[in-house]
Formats: sequence, structure tokens, C-alpha cells
Amino acid sequence: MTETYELKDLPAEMQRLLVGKCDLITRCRLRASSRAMNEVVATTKLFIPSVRIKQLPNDGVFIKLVIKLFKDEYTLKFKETETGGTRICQAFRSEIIVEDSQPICEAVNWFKIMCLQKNVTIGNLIIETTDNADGMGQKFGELVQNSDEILRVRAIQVSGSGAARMMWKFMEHCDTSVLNELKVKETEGFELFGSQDSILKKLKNVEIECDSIITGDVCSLTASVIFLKSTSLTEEMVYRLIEKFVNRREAESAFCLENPGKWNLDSFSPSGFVAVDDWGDIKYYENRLLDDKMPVVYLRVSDGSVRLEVGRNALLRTWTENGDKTIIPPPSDYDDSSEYDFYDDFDDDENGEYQYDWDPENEMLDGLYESDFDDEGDYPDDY
Amino acid sequence: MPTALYKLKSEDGQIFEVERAPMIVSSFINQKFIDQGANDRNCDRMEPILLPFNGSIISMIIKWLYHHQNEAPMSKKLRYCEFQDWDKEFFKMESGVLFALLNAAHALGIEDLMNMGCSAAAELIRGKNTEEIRKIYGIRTDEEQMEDALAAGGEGTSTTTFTVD
Repeated sequence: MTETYELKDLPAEMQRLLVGKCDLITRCRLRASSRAMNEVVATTKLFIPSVRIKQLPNDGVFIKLVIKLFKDEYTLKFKETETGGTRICQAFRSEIIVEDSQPICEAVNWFKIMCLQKNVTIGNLIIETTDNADGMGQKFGELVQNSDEILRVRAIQVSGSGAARMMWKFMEHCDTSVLNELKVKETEGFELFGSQDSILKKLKNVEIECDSIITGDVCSLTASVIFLKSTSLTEEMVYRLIEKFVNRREAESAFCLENPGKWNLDSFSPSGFVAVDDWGDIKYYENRLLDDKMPVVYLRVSDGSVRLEVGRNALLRTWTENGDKTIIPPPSDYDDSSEYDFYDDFDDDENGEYQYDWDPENEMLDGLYESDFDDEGDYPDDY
Repeated sequence: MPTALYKLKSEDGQIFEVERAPMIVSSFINQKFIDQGANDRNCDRMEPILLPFNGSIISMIIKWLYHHQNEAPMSKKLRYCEFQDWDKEFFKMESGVLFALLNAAHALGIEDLMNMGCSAAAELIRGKNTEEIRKIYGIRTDEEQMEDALAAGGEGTSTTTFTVD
């Protein structure tokens, strides 16, 4: 007779390995199956490559979790109803109405359950707001401030003034050993220094792709990739940063500094560089060492823009003249232990019944309000 | 020259004669061969290595090891949809048997089998709702577990009553 075994009798390591192979919605359903499975799922690492929080009109909130691009994605919209409740919408599903609640509170609660957990690491947290995002910023700020769990996120990308304020709050309460990237876009009057300087200076990648106010020393940044655009940038800063990157000569490091029309770079002559090309409005320089094994430092100078790259760096080449990226790279070095790749080939045997955003019975949301667990004890009544 | 065969023994007494090469993927079995000092010249005189699993499970493991013996280590991210047809057929089994196989693979230190087995197990419940998952995996609800525990008068239950004046 063939031996059989129960799942609960497998070593914990095997149970977690199995859970790690499951997609997000299956994990949620496994959690709901029993208290023991809830514990297993809660202690199995989950890497979410991308989480996007976007402010909607009338205090609405949009949250999107991407586990696998186009294949395993979950998008929820939290909107206000006419009667002062919250309508929770998910594509192709029936909506859920929660009476006497605010959309932002429901959104924050869902974010907490899905993302602010001990076993969860977010690859790229994207926050987008419009002008008046104080309410959203306050609620999310309170969440991370008061939470027992620390936010684990590798990269934060924001767009909008309200998003920038939220960003600083998240940075204050995140695991700084995990955070290594910051990107800011379309945020008027963004101030780089003065909020979380100690964390800022440890980041590997700092890209501020909008006009910003820089009151601190850009050379204090230790990032390998820097993009700054500011009228506060001086020629002296440019020279000092060039010197820093040349001395460090770290392969694939790069920076782009922009201050259109403010620098006189006609007599630009960085030490150690040789001019290799001159297109009139764009000049190219190189800094080579006698040791061929050391990467070459390339410099590109145009009106109000200085770009440097150590070795040939695909990232730098994606920065166009106006600073916009033409290529969006996938989340950097995501967890190798994750079952999923952010970009993935189409699965040949994916059947039509299991598509992305598939939660036919709203179980991801049902879990917020129902449970198989007892209401007593230490377990929450949602998951 | 006849192939050297090493002996394995299951807990229910079945003897399996195997070649060494496919077995070295199992860190447990490989170490046992080394500890025993077994080699191709003396393997027929060595005591069988005892594996604490049922013969049917060991038979499956041996079959899997033989099939994959000439392959490089697999990626941990190998997903069910990327399995060869042979493996898809191999892993067609009830969850209870699959879990027994996983348990043995873990104990024997066969990482690729563990990974593939877990992918196969995850595939069993993909797209299923909570109730279906319970059925497929044989997961008891908390209520059912409590009932079982009470019926057995087990740990954590008590029939003693206390009165307070």
C-alpha cells in the first residue's frame, strides 16, 4: 500500500516551500483554510515586485499589486458611495459596499493586510497623488508609524507633492537595510535634503526627475546612480561629483545633472578627461587609465546637462534630453527565492479560466470581513 | 563488466538494487555510501542502506532519480508549466502520496525533487477556492480539529468542571 502523508505533517520548511510556489490569491485561500495554514502562509516570504498607490478624485484610492506583469495582478479601487460608505471595485467582479467607512481607511486597511506584514517585501512602491493628498498622506503615515510591522520596500517612486510627503513618512518607518532606491517625478518644489538625510545618503540609486530644490551637498550622496535636475546645482557641484565618480570608478555607476541654461560649460575642462567628439552643442569626453581592466569613464556635456557613466551603462542611455526615461527597467534584483519573474513568458498551458486579476468570489476582499478563525484569541478577524 | 549495484532497504523490508550515479543527488544516500566505505568492488557485500520510508515511495524516488540522472541541477524557479511531459505524468498522484514523496525527498536531501514536488502540489490547488483546497489537501477546519481533539480527550481538553463559591 502506498504511504500517504498529511500536509500538516510535512516539515515547516517544506510547507513554506510549497506556499512559496502559490500565487497570491491561492495563498490568501490557503490562509483561510485553517489556523495552522494561516501561520504557515504568514511566515512564508512573499515578494511583491510592484505596488502602486494612486489618489483618485473625491478621496478615492487605487491600489495595484503586481506579482507577475499581466499574469498575476490585483487592482482595487476604493471609492465613496452616495451614502457615506465605500465602494470597493475590482475588474470583472461584483463590487463590495462597506457602509459607514471612508475609502482611504479601507484602502489603508487593505494595504496593511497585503503589504505591511513581516514576511512581505515590496520591490517597487509607486505613489501618485494630485495636489491635495493630505488626507491620504496622513492615513498612510499613521499606518506605518503605528504599525508593529516595519515596511520592507526596495524602491520608492513618487509623483506629486502629496506623494513626496508620504514618501518621507514611509522612509522614516521602513527597513533601511532593504531600501536602496528613490525616484521622484513630476513633483513641483521637491526638496531633496532636510527630511531623511541619513537614509538618503545610503541609497544606491537617487533619481529626481523633476525640478528640485537642493540645499545639501550632493557629494554626500553615496548612490551609484544619480539623476538630479535643479537650478540649485552649481558648476562646482558638477566638478566635485565628477571627481567623486572618477575616483570611485564603480562599474555601471552613472549620474545625470541638469540645470538648463545656468551653466557656462563652454570652457568645461574636467581634469583627467580627453575630448573625443564635438557635435557643437554636445561634447564627449573620456577618462581612461593605463590599466585596461579598469572601466572607462564617459562624459557627455550639453547645454545645462552633464552626464557621466562608468563603463557603458544601459541605464544612462535611457535618459533622454528632457530627462524622461524611454525604457522602464524591471524592479532591480528582486528576490531570487520568489517563484515569479516580473516579466514572464506566456504560459502555454494557462487555461482561460485563470487569468490575471482573477478573484471570482472576491475572496481577497471577503477575507477582510469573514474568517474561519475564532474571533477570540490573538488572531485578527481578517487576513 | 557487470554494473555495480548498491542496496537500499525500505522500512517495510523491500530491497532495491541501484546504481550509484543516480543516487548521488540524494545527499543522505550519498553520505551513507561514503560512511559505509562502499565502492563498486565491495557494494554487493555491503549491508543495505536503510531508508525509513515505505517501499512504494522509495520506488518512486528511484524512478525519478534514474530519469533525471544526467541532468544539471534545476532552477528553483522551475514551474509546473515548464515540466517535461514525463514529470507531469510522474507527479499525477493524490495529494497524500505527493506529500509522502515530498517528505521523503526532504529527508533524503533531493532538492530538485523537493522543488518540483512542491510546484506540482501548488498546481493541484491553483484556481481552487478555499473549500476545494481543504478537500484536495485534506486540511481540517479549526472546528473539525477541535472536535477531534475533544472526542479523543486529548491535550488541551478537560472534562473537569470547577465551581466557585
